[in-house]
Amino acid sequence: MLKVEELTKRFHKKTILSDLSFNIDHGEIVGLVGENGAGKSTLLQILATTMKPTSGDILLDDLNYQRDKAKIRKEIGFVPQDIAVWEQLTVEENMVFFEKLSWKKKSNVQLKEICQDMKLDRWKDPVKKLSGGMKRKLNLAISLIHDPSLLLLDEPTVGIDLKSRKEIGAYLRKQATDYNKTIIYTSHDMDEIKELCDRVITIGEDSFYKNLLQEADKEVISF
Amino acid sequence: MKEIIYTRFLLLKKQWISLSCWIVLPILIAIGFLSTAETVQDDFNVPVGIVLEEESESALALWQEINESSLVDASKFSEREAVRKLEQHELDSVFIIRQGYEETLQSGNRRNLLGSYYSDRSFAYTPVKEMIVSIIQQTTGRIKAANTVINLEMKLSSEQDWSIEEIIAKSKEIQNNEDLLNNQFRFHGESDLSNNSGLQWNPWIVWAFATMLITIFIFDWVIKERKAIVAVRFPFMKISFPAYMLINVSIYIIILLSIDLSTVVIFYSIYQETINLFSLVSYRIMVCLFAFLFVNIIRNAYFSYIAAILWVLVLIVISGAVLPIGGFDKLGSWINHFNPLYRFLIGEWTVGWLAFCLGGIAIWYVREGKKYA
Repeated sequence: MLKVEELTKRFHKKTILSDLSFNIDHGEIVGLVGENGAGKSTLLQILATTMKPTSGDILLDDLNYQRDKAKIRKEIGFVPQDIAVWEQLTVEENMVFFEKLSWKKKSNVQLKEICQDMKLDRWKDPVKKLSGGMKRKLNLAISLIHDPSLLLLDEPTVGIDLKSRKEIGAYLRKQATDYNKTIIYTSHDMDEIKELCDRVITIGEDSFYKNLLQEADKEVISF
Repeated sequence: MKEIIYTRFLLLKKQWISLSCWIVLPILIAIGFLSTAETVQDDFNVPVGIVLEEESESALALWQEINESSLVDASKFSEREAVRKLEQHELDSVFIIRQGYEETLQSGNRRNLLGSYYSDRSFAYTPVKEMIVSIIQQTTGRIKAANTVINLEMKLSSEQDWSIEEIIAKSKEIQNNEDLLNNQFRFHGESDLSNNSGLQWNPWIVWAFATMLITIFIFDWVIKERKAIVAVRFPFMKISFPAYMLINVSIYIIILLSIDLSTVVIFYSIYQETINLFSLVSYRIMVCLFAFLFVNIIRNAYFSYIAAILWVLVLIVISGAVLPIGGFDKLGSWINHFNPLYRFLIGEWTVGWLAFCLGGIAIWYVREGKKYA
């Protein structure tokens, strides 16, 4: 379980996040929405351990974010908004490259399976020849090489076609259901959030997102 | 370590052609520069024809002395052939050492010793003529001095019995010892060369400058990979980004050192030039670490190329390779401390700059470690 207690983040005198508290269970997909500048990316970076909170506690199962940072990082799969892959390498070479630097050893067959599971089958093709949707899938596949228990995705489907978006959504649902992974997902696409997420966290004073989500049968946590 | 080597070669195999070209470029620059310099030097020698009407010892000595000049290429011809070559502008001018040259010289007479031909394209005629005349004046001066000494000896009934040859030999010895212009050139740990034969270009000197420049160019991968979006993945990997970068620098050092060892073989086989291996290894490591710090400070690939060119131009100037500032010994020791090539150019270990670069790397590692903590 991911447990966030009274989390606050200030930049100089400006408070970006104020007293956030929530729990997320294993196997749950939680959406994170809010207008630009509301603090979604800041929260995601704090949960990814790449930014320190001003105050508050975060626990991932028995691991404390302040004390056990190195262990927690092994459990995190971070999918950045920008496509963080080597364009000049093939899909296979990208997977092998990041596997070599990963905490867990995987064979080429296992790496190929990860890609095939999300319908990324152009194994030998250079990334620069792939479509935006394929690149997004690879971006996600690389983050899953070390079998993380907490998956943090920063707008992973931005700018791609509906088919690829559905395929990525289906894959994430399978990861949550079959492999009990905790998934936090930011997006501006409310249809996608409504369809995919079990619960939604809204950040910011604007009630626009809260009103949109009222129609859906989703639990909404607002800050 | 093994994994990082594998990942580096995954990236390098996509650019092996361009990398190979960059790696061998310092060797090609050194060979190209030296062969060009040799050709240019040959082209600047003035072709002069010498006609010997008599082949006496003095006449041959004069021809030999003219030939020893680094600016003149004097060849022996018959008068007819020399004039034909002058007409075809293959020779700048022709000088004839007349029959009776030695006898006239011994008598102390300086007139009508030489004849000459020149054309309207004999641009170097006057300076060459002046040079030959000065050689003859020096010789006649010596003979006159020797005759004076012998006459004095006879007048004063000295017990000394000097021959004219002994006196001339002694005067030459004194001239050499008391030479007013005496520059010392020294290259790459060789013993002092006290003659004034000019700058002898060494392939390792050219290589050292080219290597400094090309290594900075090769290290543009640091800028590209620092800026690459994949850097955001490193907090979740088993190796930190600074450690990944430093291990990659080590891989580059090993690759470049292996090429440097080939360079040793190539330069030895072409120029018979040897080098102190410790000097070479310490220089190579220093250059790689320096290039790494250099591109980390500049942080922009194109600015780093321009800055690298300017930096190497400064090094060429302060090393005394272009301006005639009298070599390293006369530069003053203070400026040599700022020259990362100085120790290598004199054939010693690059200790100071290597320590400086290692210090810089340590500071960089701590700072980057905090950034990615």
